[in-house]
Amino acid sequence: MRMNGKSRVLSLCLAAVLVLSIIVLAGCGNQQNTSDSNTTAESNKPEKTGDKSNAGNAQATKEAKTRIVFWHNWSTGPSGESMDKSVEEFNKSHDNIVVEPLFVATDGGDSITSKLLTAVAGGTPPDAMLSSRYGIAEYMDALTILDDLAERDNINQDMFYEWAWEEATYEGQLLGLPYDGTARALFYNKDHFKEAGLDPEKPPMNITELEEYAKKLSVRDGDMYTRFGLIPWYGEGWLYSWGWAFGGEFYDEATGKVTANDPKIVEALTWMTDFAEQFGFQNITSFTSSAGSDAMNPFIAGQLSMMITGNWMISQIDQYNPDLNYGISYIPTPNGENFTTYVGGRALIIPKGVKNLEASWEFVKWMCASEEGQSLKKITKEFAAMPEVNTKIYGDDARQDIFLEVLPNGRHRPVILAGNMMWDELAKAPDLVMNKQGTPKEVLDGITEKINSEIQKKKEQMK
Amino acid sequence: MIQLPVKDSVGKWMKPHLLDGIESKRAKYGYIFALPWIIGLLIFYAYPLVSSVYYSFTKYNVVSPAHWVGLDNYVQLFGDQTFWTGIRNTIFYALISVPLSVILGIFLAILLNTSIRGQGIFRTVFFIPTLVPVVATSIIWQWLLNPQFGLINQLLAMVGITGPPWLGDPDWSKPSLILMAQWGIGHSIIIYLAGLQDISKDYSDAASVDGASGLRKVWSITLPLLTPVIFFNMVMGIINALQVFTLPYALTYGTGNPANSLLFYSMYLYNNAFKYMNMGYASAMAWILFIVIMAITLILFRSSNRWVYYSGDE
Repeated sequence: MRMNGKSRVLSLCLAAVLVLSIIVLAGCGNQQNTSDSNTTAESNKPEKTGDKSNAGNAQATKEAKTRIVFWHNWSTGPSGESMDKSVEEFNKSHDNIVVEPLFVATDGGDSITSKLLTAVAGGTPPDAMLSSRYGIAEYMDALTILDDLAERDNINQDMFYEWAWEEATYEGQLLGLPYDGTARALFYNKDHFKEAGLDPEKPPMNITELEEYAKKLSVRDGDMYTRFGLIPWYGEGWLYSWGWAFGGEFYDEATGKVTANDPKIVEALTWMTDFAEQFGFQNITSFTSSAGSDAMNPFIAGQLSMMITGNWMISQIDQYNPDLNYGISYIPTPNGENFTTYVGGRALIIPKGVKNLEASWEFVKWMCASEEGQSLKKITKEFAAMPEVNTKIYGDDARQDIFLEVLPNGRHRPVILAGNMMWDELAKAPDLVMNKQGTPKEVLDGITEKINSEIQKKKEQMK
Repeated sequence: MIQLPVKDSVGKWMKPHLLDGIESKRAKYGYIFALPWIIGLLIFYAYPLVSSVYYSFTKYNVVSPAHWVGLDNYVQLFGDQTFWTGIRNTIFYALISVPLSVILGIFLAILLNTSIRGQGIFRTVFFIPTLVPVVATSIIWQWLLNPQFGLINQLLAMVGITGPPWLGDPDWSKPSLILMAQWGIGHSIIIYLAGLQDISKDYSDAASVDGASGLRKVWSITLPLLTPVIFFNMVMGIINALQVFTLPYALTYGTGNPANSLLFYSMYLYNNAFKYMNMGYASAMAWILFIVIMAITLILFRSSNRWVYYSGDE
């Protein structure tokens, strides 16, 4: 009896599996058809698009829809949410296009992934892709140049911040539309300021003050620091951030040469590494390599009093420690004026060889050059690439004031044919100097030479 | 030793001409069944291999046509500081990790070969780490080696030692990596174990009768008879060590920090190929690596008749 019961259950299971697999197979077949022809009648795929779009497209069910695939690398947290929301809104408002978002992890940097190269070379590129702007120039062979489309639809640089448009342009060619901006500033813990006898409403403005405050804010327990006032290179304290704060220039437009060994940048790097000496490089290393992220981020957890970081940190603090009493100020400069910020951000690019350029362009245009698309940047607390949108979405958020103020003079990384390599090399520079692999000047001379010869090489190749 | 009679006995009860017919028929089916694999090998291995020779003499970025530049890539490589950093790091890693894994592997295999209670459990325990994906390994070890809160430094602190910053310090980062790599030693232990079980008990029994100590038996009987297996593991170990990639790449997100101390040859190769759009340059790097590995393996093979004893030799 028992065996019988068992085998009955088993056969039921098998039957269920069989039925399921037939359904799945049928579903697969359906999908294959649709992706082959690239357009399909909505009625064929009722289960794929959500309820909302179904309702909205009731009258459009008989029209053919174009499906496009959109690669992005934001899956979790506010950024993930912003992608989902954007695609949803776009699909709702466009009857003839369906965007299918696809999470594609980046490898190495956060710019273009090697998967794009292979996809383009293999003739199956995604229809649009989100990518950090700094690295796209060297991938321009894999991209559709957008000048003609932009001109036709009256999309031009007046609509965007200067840094946004310029970072998406290489030698007058538009590589993608700028999507957003990330800006850096000094975040400081007001409670720590009070504890150390500093005025919480008077953050440091120049480098001398910054150093002085950092010393006052640090707390030692025997040999070990339990709290650091500042670790210049921690968080977003890249050499780019400090180099520009010190008034340096990383690139000479006139000669087309990288100038990472600009005396001002050497000065910035020297300051960063001297700072490490003062506090003991070992102490700092053991602190930073133990530091966590998210809720355990040392600034959020109160182990670090001042930190250079980006405006997305606002949404993280809201999430993990909403009671944190903090202020936001300019990145200090040597003379306490000419404040600037290092602005990064992404572009939406259209790879070469897409099957339906108009649909891709429609989506990219909506994301980057329409108020609806750009307003959704509010979710991540980062900036839209269009100035007018930012005033609308952040006008009443005092925490964004400092950012909004410095944003128009924001600086962007040079658009060169070796942007990824330059990023990698500059990111390593402080580490190399602090580990005594050379003086700041030597290390930066080396990097400058390496990047310039790489650019030279690439240019010869393109001829 | 005894000649195995398999071939002879098959031939004996089959007439020669019959054998030819059946054999060729069988061979045909053999090829047909192997065909999917052969095609795969040709398309996915042979073709890229051969084309990478060509690309190593070109400037090539995967999406645009290649330009012939002759020996340029190779010449440039020899002037590239990062290339030499990669080579230095990789050789350092191989020089320490390969001998270490041989010694540790044999030691553990001999221990695991002693008949004690729970032998199977011990063997399983030592093999389990190899089942953990490399990326997971890197995360586990990052926690263990965390300078302030890591388990290892806390244990060291208990006995009064201030632990090093491990992965945070360029002098300690490679030793840390070697330590992590030894964690996944289970594969070679399995091979050593098989080798150990292949050694006839007669030798050690005879030695016991002569009054040899346990250590003496290991030195004079086990090790010499294990040399073919040691040789195999050494060759594989060197090849793998020179291509070390996944662990340091996952640990450092491809940067090779701190201070380039974890920038290994394959990582720089990968960055050139897929990040800096220098597929031609990367192909040249790959071929240099191939030649180096080939040369080392050949030298090892040459040296092998001096220290590898195959049972069956006189």
